[in-house]
Amino acid sequence: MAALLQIANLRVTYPGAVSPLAGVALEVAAGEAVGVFGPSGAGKSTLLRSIPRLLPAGTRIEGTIRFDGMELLDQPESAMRRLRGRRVAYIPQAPAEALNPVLPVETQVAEVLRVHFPMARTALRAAVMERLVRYFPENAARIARAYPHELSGGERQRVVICQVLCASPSLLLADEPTSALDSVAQLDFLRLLRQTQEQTGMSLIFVSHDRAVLRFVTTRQVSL
Amino acid sequence: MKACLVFLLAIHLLAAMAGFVTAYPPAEQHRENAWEAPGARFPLGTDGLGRDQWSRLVHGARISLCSGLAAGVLSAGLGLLLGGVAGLAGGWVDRMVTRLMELFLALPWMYLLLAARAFFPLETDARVVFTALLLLLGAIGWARPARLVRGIVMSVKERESVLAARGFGAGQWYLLRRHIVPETLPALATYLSLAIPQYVAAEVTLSFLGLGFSGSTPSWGSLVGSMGSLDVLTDAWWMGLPVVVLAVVFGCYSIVSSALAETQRQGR
Amino acid sequence: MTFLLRRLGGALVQLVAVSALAFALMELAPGDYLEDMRVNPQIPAATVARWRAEFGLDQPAIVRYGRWVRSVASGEFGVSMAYGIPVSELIAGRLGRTVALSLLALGLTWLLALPCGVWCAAYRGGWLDRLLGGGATVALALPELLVGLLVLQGALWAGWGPVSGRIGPAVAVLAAVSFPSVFRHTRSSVGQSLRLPFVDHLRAAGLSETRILFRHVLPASLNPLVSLLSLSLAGITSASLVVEVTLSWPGMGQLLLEAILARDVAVVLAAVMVAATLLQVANLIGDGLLYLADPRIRRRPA
Repeated sequence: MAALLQIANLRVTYPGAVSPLAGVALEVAAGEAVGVFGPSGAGKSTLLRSIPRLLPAGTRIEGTIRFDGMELLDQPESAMRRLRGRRVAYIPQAPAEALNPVLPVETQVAEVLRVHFPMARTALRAAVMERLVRYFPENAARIARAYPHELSGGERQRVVICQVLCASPSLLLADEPTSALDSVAQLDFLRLLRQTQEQTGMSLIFVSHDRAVLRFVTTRQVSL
Repeated sequence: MKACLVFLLAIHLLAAMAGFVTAYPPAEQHRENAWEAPGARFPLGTDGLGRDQWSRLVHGARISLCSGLAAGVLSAGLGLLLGGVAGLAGGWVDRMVTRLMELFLALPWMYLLLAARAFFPLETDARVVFTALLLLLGAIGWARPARLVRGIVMSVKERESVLAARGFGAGQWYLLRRHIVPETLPALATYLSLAIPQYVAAEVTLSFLGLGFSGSTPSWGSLVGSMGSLDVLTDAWWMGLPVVVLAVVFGCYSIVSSALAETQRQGR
Repeated sequence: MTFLLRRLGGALVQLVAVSALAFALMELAPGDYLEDMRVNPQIPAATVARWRAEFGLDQPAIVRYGRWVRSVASGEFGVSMAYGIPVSELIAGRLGRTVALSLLALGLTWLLALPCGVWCAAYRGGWLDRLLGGGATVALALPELLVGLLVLQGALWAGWGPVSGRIGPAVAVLAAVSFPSVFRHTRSSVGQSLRLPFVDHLRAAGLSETRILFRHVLPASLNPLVSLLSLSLAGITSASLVVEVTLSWPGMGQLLLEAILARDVAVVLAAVMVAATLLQVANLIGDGLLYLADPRIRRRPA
């Protein structure tokens, strides 16, 4: 099977001349779930964020990151923006906190969808509802109108996953999204993630310092 | 920032030594030299009564800076007292002071200042005007520092170290001296650095409107007041120079107070 | 809803308190409108006494306050002693001009300061940020009187023609005076919101910086700015008084000044009340906006 993502000789240097990564290689096949293990400070987040180039201004990235036949390091910023969320999606470290407190859920999902698929307002609403129903079969209408503070932590996480996956990306990057959760909530979240990954057939890179978590959601683990 | 501080110090120094740096007393009239443009004899020219504008500017700085400083200290003192009492006492005292504070903060202070100015006779000598100004500005300005102090007292009161000191049997006076006053002083200093120029500005504005010092007393306000009419400016351009000087002074005040607020924010 | 009703009640109580305070101040002031006439030997004492009785100045203060309140309730705001007509007629046109000036200045200030503040918060240290940040720092304590006089002078020296009595220059001066604080608050509030996690999340989802800034970060930063809106109107109301006199805009400012010099009590009281009412209305609108801007206040979790 052809590799969806090929990283070779990756070297990242932050403005203060700190290089957490020097010559890293990683390959991910289409539909594969890969876990990246490493203690804190090993550069897991840096590796993950260098793929969609979400690093602070002034950071130098060298090496090659080939995604679906494209060299990402050569792409202009505008092309990267079209790629983010549409082809390569990213789940933040604390998903339950990643929503805008002053906008209703519906609007926040719609905002992501309309960047990648421009469409009329009514069509957009329908598309948002269709996606929300996948994650909230019983109460999608209530969730759509709710503001983040009116939802439980678990519901907020589901909303964020729905938002992140609404444009059907082919690669999902997860940056220790469960590290702040208690073990029950963690299990719920990981189940949802694994199930979604298996259903959609997208690739997944999940980084964590917890081997048990990695074994649960991914089929192959590498160490950093 | 340093340059501004130096400039402000220089202005204060000039004001303090006004008698030494000017050739003529501010009220002395050189009738044959009325409306004279700046030159060797009169660095900033003369006004219609033949008075040396430079001397009036420097002597005016005395009165204006003093009233600003005194009004600032008075309002800060009142604020410290009322805000401190409200914060420490709590209960109905706190509720009453807070109500009063809200009332004063909700008023358009320029209107209030003018209305309250009517409390004092219009034509009076400089000393009465000075006292009146002080009382007015202090009475109107206390609410802001009071709110500041009250907030700090409330937060300090709940702090672990203070609760611990209480547990050891520390009295109110000890807490006030060792915990509350040291916390409020930097905040009050920042307040003063903003309030003093505001009070100087209030003096300038009131005198400009004819409600402060009259033309015979040299103050920045009465100095600026003499250029209220347009023909003065068309005929004697140098009458506008004090305004430019004042603008620079206030600019320096702003920069210094911004820098103070910034260091305080970082210190926290 | 009860929240807004309670605020309305509070505003009314404050207005009554202000009126009593202002009335008491005017009462304590030495001399009244007829003072000059009493010392004038050409006017017989009996005439002055008749006038006093006509204006009700011989009644005790509490009676006059009661009369004044009744007059306010009927919409007259007392009778101006200098003009001999109800104050309401006197201020009708001037109030409109003052309100127009203040609202235009408020609008202009926010229209400029809001986008500038948002932009400078996002591109901190950029050329616009350094320019406006520096300018706002210098202008923060600049009194409106000096700005007004500088504009007068500048217009004269540059030969721009008459500046006095026109609304454009007055609005510009007011906006220039109130710009720095709105700009700085916007910048710091947006700067704080930019550190919230949703910003990074939206960037990762492919939204453009401008879209994130104005559609997402700005609404999330509005809460502290709404309180600033009523504060900035308070500042503009005060400053407009000075600017009106400086640039000869025939609004409430000139009238109030004349009334104070003439001890025309009813006019002074009316001006103070009008200004206080304006502020209370602004505060109420501010609370209403806050209610709209922040769903956390609008809908508390059940």
